[in-house]
Amino acid sequence: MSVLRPPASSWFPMPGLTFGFWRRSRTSAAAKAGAGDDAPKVDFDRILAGIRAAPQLEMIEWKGDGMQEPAAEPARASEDDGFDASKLDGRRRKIRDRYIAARFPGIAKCGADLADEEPLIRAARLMFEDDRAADALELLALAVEEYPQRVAAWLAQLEILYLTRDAAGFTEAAGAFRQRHGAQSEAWPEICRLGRALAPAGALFAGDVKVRDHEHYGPWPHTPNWIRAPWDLTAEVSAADFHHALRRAANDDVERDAKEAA
Amino acid sequence: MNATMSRDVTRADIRAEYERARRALKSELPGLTQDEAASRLGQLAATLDQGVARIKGELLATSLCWNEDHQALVGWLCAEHEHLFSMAHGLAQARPAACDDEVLTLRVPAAALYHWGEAVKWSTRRERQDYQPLHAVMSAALRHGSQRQPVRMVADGRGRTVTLEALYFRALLLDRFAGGSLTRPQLEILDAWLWEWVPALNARREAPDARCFRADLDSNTGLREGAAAEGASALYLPLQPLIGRRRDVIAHLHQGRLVPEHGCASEMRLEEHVAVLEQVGRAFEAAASGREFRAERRPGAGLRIEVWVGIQEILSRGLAPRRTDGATKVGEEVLAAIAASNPMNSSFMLADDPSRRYLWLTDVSESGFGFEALGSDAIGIAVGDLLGWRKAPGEPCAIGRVARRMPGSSSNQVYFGVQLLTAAARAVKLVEIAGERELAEEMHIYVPGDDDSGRRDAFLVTESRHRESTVYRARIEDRAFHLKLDRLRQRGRGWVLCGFEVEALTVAAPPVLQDAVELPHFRLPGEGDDDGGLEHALSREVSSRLLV
Repeated sequence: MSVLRPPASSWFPMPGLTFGFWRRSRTSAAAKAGAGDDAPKVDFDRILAGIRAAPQLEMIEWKGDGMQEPAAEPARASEDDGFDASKLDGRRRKIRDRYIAARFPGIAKCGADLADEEPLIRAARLMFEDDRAADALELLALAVEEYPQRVAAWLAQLEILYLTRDAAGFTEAAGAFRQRHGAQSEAWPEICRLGRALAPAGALFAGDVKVRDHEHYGPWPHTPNWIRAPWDLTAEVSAADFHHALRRAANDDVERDAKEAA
Repeated sequence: MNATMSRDVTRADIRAEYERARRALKSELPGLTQDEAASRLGQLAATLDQGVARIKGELLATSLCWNEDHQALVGWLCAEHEHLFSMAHGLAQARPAACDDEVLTLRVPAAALYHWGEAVKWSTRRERQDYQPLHAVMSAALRHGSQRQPVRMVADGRGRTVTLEALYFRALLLDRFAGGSLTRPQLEILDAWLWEWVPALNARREAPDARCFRADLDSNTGLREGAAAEGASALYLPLQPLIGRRRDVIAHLHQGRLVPEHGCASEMRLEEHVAVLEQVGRAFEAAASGREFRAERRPGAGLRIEVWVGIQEILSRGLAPRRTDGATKVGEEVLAAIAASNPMNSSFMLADDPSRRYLWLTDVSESGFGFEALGSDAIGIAVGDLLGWRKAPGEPCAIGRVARRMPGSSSNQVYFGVQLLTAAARAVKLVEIAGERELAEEMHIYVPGDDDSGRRDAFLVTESRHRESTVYRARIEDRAFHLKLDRLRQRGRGWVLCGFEVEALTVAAPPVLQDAVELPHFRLPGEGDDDGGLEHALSREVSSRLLV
């Protein structure tokens, strides 16, 4: 036990007042210690009875089969509005990083790995080309959450939404982009052009239509190539050659085996 | 009942005491009033629930190294939940038709539905569930109109407000995913999500326009997709709300939150949560897109096949030329001997090099294979492993990924559901290069894709060797191809399936040319035809980008 005098005694020279204060605290501490000596007197039966007792619940009003799914999406959206990945506490940061690593192995081990635009957009494009557009969009969404000030991931996300003809998703993402980067962004006219093609009735994309003289020009016609698809198709021709060369080799093997067996 | 009974159900004596209490209650049930019977049943169920809640976390965390005691405990838990379901179902059936008692109309049926789901979760058998009693409980609730009334219950030591139809679909969804594609910890995570998704688990009597699951109340089947036949009594569960709930889980993970944030599931590895997300996503997508969940299956019984596990074994035994590989047709006596696991039988003695594994092909479909194995042959094979086999000598080597592992049709047997990755794998030598330097050469497994353009081709490589930036050189015929394995498509235990880009095409040293070589004229398929045959022939070999 500490032998230091309680600091209160130096501030309160009146012995009765200070001694009384500490005496009370000692008394209550002693009382607590004494209580600890006895066996715990928890009334388990009462607690269990409380659990088992039927609570007085109000009826939930069901609207029948026409009932819509509870408004989970808007609730989540309102949570998202205030979400800032840079302000996560340690535990949540760790969960998010581990999720990124488990969900996108070989691409990113944590949120910080999404900073490098070139491999990020390449990985998203490859996923999209492998018919995994949803995965590509999630990867880009994680990057947007991590670095919302950088436009490359936003734009790649918009282009993939355009290429998958997801009008609702495109409009939502374009709205979020405009909210973050403003209509003065260099890319906004191009987003509006894509938006008008995808959702002609969308008020977000209304404005002057500027016709380009190179609509069909690019790796994917009509698109700005924010996903950075290569213009050179040699690799794709080579892939076909490789496939056919191996198929020929396999056929040769089968024929040789058949001859040997004969 | 002894107050310590619920403390440690890992002890056989405690379990025996519980069983005695359960048997006593079962024998006393006919003589008790319904209120009293419901109360006693609730006490017994609460005792089991408390016991399970204490051990579940640790039990599931060690599920990869369970011994016989653990298996016995899990089997016991399944059996006890089945008994509780049976008693609750009997009690619910015995209630008067015009009963308004909340305990009998809500609590007892809720307990029955809950215990049916729990029994599925802990099940160690492969036999199909008996769905009729489950459908009967739900049908009775529908008749009474109590299917959507809130009922408060305690599960896993936590109080929850649910409805009977939510419990009914929870049980059926657990049954749907309990076919071996999810491990027990993963099934527990799914169950934790289903408790959170209770508001989305509401049924419709009419088939919705959108995709849905269906429960046929008059049948003895689990969840199906699409609309029922006319006149059949069915309940529909729309998929879209469930897909939305799955998205919510992902959104929470983006924000660094687990779903749920507390409880046994929240203590499991995050990789398990991701595995459940992916499996559930695949199942919902398949159902939502209207694709058949399962390709038509044909029996493959009678074929005993040597299988190779993992990339190294497939390369060394499956893809290396051998004359004695593949399957053998065997007689009934060998089947019987192996099924009986009788090593003294002379037929069984044919088998075999102990370093080799033999599995029985039980069913075949376009997308996969079903195998059964003796427990000894199944050791070390888990969901996510690679298996390779040849159905007959001279046939190409097929490779698949173990998608399901579950108890076999008889004791000491294990059933594997294997998703086919390729029916014609091939070993290809790849040389790792850095500039002009050759660093290392190694055989890799080439998995041909179904697209003539080669865009779906891939290589199976070990996880430790996989590096996206590495460039490999392959020599096929007289050509050299530079490959970059940069498209990770699937991964399993120690392996990854990588798509690749062919970086550059170079022609190897040409053969010595003769003077005045006349080049042959290659006639393309359809060349000269007027019906667009040439265009058709080329359409499969150009980038999809050019086909827009």
